[in-house]
Amino acid sequence: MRALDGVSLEIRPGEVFGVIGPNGAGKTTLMGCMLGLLRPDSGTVAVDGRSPDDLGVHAITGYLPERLMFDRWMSGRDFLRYHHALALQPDAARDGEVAGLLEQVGLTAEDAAKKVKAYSRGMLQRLGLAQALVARPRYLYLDEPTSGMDPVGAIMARRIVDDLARRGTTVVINSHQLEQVERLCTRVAFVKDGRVESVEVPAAGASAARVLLIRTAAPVPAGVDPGRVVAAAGGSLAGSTETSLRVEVPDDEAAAKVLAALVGAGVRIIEAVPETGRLERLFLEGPGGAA
Amino acid sequence: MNWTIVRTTLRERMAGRGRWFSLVILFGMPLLWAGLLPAGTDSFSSMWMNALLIWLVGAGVIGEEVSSGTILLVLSRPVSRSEYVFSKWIALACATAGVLAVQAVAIAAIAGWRGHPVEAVALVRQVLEAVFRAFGASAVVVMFSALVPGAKEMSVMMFTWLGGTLLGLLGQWKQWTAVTLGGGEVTSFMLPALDLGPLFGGGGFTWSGPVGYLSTVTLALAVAVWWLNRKELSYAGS
Repeated sequence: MRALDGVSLEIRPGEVFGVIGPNGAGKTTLMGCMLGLLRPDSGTVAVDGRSPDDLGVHAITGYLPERLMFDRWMSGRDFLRYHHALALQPDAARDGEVAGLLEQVGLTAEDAAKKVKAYSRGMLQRLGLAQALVARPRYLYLDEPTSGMDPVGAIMARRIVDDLARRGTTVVINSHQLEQVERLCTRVAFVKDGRVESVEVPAAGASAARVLLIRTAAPVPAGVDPGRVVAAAGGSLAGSTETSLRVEVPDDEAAAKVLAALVGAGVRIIEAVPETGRLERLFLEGPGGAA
Repeated sequence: MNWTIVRTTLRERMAGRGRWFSLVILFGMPLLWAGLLPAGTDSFSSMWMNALLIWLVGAGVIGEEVSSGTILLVLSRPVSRSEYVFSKWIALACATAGVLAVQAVAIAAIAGWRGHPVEAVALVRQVLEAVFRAFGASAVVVMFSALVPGAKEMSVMMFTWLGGTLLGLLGQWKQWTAVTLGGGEVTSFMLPALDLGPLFGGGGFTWSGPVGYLSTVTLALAVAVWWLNRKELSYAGS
């Protein structure tokens, strides 16, 4: 069975790169290859020009697996101390750095003293994230990083990733939580049947085409053809209901013109927001179906 | 060698109550026999009692980490697979060598108390042989543990040893020399031992003993490293 086939990707330094795709698509296998835990039958994986097997690469790599496989007999603190030592971090800094990591992921001293086997799923996920950060990684691989976390935990994880990205850490996120991927990632690979079907830019720049969702306080006035108004301003009407319009615009300037034209035609706009869920459509309809 | 893995393995091995219980039984039984059997007879602190102790302490030393998946997190750190295997071996060997050495001293003390003192030289020999046994059998446990996920290697080892013994008996019964030798090789592989008699004035020294011992230990560790180096390790536990 071929888990991956003809995959070719380049992830740029400091990028937050997402990998999405249906179950069994090969996402975790791809991550295993990037980490050097799996070796491809053919082809090469290079991290900074080195093999992912290289222990020097491992020393600056953090990994949070999807399946939380921790030494359950240890306390949370001991688990982090163990990985801090395995990551060849200085002994003298161990206690301070472990305490800092626990605080960063929102685990209390009391939580840290408990055996890992007593942890809830959300606590395990926080501990896993702290473990992935022990070596101050330059490359961070997160497989479903917020799975099982409460909303507070998910926000905390997002802030950590944002902060790491600002400091130049390259982050690879494999997740089914598309909204999260859309918010965090600069680029996203859509993997299906072991192939990279497309690489998308979810948060495209200001000049990129996008879909606006426009809500109105009342139905469009009689005699006004919203399709014609939108087209005259440089957009195209993708759909409408009694009190909403879905408009495709090629850039910011067209968006402003469309909104002005609609207001000028008497449409009482109360809200206009860029439509999210692009990755969701990509997921459901495939690369050709996404706007 | 990675001392973090050595220390953590020692702590992990001592964390389970079941393992402590087995250890106490297997440590205590030879002492009990040394105290109860007629004075002067060889106690039942035989090689196979020692083997059982080493196998029980080592059961799942790698296999449990493979089946739980914790090995992947360790190997995502700057730890090579050979370093991982050697560290597991050293941890297991040091722990069991310590236990067996203390056991040998305790048995000698009981013998002395019963009026049959063991000479210091003989005691040193017994302790050293126990240490070599611990290092040899630990290498074999590490090999089987790398090959078999979970803690099932104990039964595989038992069956292998039993198979070797039965093969040897069959060979003797039928007077098939090759079968007898084959059975003997299997059983001696399961518990590599080094006879230190020649060093303590008990006969002429030959290289076959140390060479056989070292080759068994090397082969066992090499197989463990080779198997953990396979490319599909990530799926081993799934």
